[in-house]
Amino acid sequence: MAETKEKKYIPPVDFGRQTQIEHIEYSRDVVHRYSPSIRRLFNLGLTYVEDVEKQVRDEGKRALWCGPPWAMPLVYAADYLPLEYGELARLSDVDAISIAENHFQMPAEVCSMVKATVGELYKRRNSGIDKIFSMGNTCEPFNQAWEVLKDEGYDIYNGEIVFRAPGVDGERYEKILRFFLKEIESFYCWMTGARDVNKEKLFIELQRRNRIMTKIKTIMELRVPHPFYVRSLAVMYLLNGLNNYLGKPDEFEDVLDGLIDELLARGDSSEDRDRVIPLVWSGGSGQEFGVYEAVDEANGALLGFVAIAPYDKLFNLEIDPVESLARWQLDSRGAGASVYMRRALEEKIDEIGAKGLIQYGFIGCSQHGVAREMFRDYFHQKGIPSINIEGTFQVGPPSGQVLTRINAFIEMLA
Amino acid sequence: MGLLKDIIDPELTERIGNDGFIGLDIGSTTGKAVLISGGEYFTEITPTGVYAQPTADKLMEKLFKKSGRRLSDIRAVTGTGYGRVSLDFGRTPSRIITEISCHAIGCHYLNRNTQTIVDIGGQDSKAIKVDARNGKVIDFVMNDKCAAGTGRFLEKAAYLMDISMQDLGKEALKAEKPADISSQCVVFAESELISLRAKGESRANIAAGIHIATARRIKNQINRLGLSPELVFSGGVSNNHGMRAAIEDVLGIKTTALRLDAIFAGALGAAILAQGNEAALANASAG
Repeated sequence: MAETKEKKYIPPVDFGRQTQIEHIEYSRDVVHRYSPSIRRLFNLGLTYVEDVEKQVRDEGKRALWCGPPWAMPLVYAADYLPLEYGELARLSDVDAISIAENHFQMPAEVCSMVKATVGELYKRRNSGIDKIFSMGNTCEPFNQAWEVLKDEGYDIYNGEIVFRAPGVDGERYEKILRFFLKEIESFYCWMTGARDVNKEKLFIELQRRNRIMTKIKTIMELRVPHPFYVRSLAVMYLLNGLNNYLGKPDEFEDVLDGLIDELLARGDSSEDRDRVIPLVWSGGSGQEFGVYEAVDEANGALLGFVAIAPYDKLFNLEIDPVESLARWQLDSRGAGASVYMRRALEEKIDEIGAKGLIQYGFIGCSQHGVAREMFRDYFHQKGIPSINIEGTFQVGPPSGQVLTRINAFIEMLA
Repeated sequence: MGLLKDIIDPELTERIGNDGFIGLDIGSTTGKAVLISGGEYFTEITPTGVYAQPTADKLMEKLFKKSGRRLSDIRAVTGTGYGRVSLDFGRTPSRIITEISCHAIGCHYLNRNTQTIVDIGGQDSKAIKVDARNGKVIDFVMNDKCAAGTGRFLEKAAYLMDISMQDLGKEALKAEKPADISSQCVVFAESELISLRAKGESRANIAAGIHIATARRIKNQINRLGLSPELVFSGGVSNNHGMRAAIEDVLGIKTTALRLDAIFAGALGAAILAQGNEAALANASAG
């Protein structure tokens, strides 16, 4: 300390958590050491990709790389294991982006999520999983990525995306729906070779998805009275798992049951409620896990998490399962117009009494950047402070400026 | 060093207690420190070294020497600035707060009518909107992409023109017709400056052009928040008179002069917040 003259400074040995895996391990072993369910959740996340690859290699199971959240029940129904390429990129290493920029010559300004995905898929080109399903027509960098990966031996189905502009209903809506149904059948045929979707299996998968969404909704509701039990990174993994069950549906569901039990067994958390700064997070979930730690350390809690895939909109089990799948997507907040997402944000902000909104996007993502600015202005006019954070999929800790912005934002709300 | 009543807004002077508090603002280029105690204040500044902690230790040593106080006289310390994350104050009660909140409180206590702050530091620039009732941040904008609009940009420009940072601002004030510098990227601006020099443009005009280009960027940040007077210019670049003049020209409003060198505004705010965030804000809001 200051009064000791000529003290030789020894820099800290622990330079902090650098990689995403180090952040997960820290959150699992230190932050959430009290929660067996959250520790299991992180273990599922850490082993997701490798375990699926192993099942393909050793047990002859089928898997494909997949992005759109709505497609996951269909993939499971087709007896494939979905490997969400976003998760692959999230845990990518330093080589991935270098491969994209240097081997594939993708420009530096291209979205880092796309580059991390391309690099990782290139490294896995001989893994035995060579199918990729995407609906990337709205994201030009991903379209380019798929083109270059075709040359690496990947079989890629880049589906046509459907948009539902505000006000579209009646015959126009039904026409879009019919088109989308054909796309779903075509995608299923590409996966299995069968022309007709196995509706019995799909129905079972939709039931499962509804069950899992309901459980996650319960967890999110239980977090409001117990805001610090499930911290930000764990929430992010819960919601990422919602899309793909981290490759192990039964185990994932078991984790949810365990976590509900843990939350229900909690005593009084009124002290936590008094100091918490409730926040809504929207947009990507990113790779810079230090950002989540910054939120936690500042007494923030991401009690509302608004991503493309909702946990509070169930599949209709009363209608044909394929139609149910199509309508779920077509009526979702991700169906094209940003106003749908804005409404979802508004609802979530009201629901949890959020003091502020954090919108996270990736540097170079042209697809969502404009909407984030529009949302910012909209919510500022309504008196809800928000901050737009631009992060990356580059490996390493977030920059000092990003942390300063997060910290200052939460200080502002305190 | 001096008396707090000579620098603090008269309406807020009594909000600061007699106990000893230290604010340390470890910026990317310089470390600043303010000690307040018994109605007096003491300041220190030093270049930021490789590590934040030795810089902080050095600043505190100098403060103790200058003030005659000892560590045991200090009730709490607040660390802020770029290097805040790695600071350790041992057993002394401490807190870490961002420079955005610290500049807001510091500028508020120096002038309670402050509503907008331009803070240009070594590696970033910020526009901060402040609640004049209590010094709390209402909103802020911060560049975090590159050196554009920061002290680093000015430093590089000074280097290219073969003058010191201190002289860059003075030179700008002699300009007859500021050069038009369109690039804010340090890399591109370098070739633009070399071209201007090759054309024989005067050093003063180039210097003024550099400051105006930076001020335009600041204007865009301010526009996002809305400019409410009074405007205070703080941070490491606030001593640059050319920059101050450019900001005033581009924004069309005078900046408010403070009675403390505004480079210490963040450290002063940190020292005030070391009293206890809640207490400082509650006291301030009462005013």
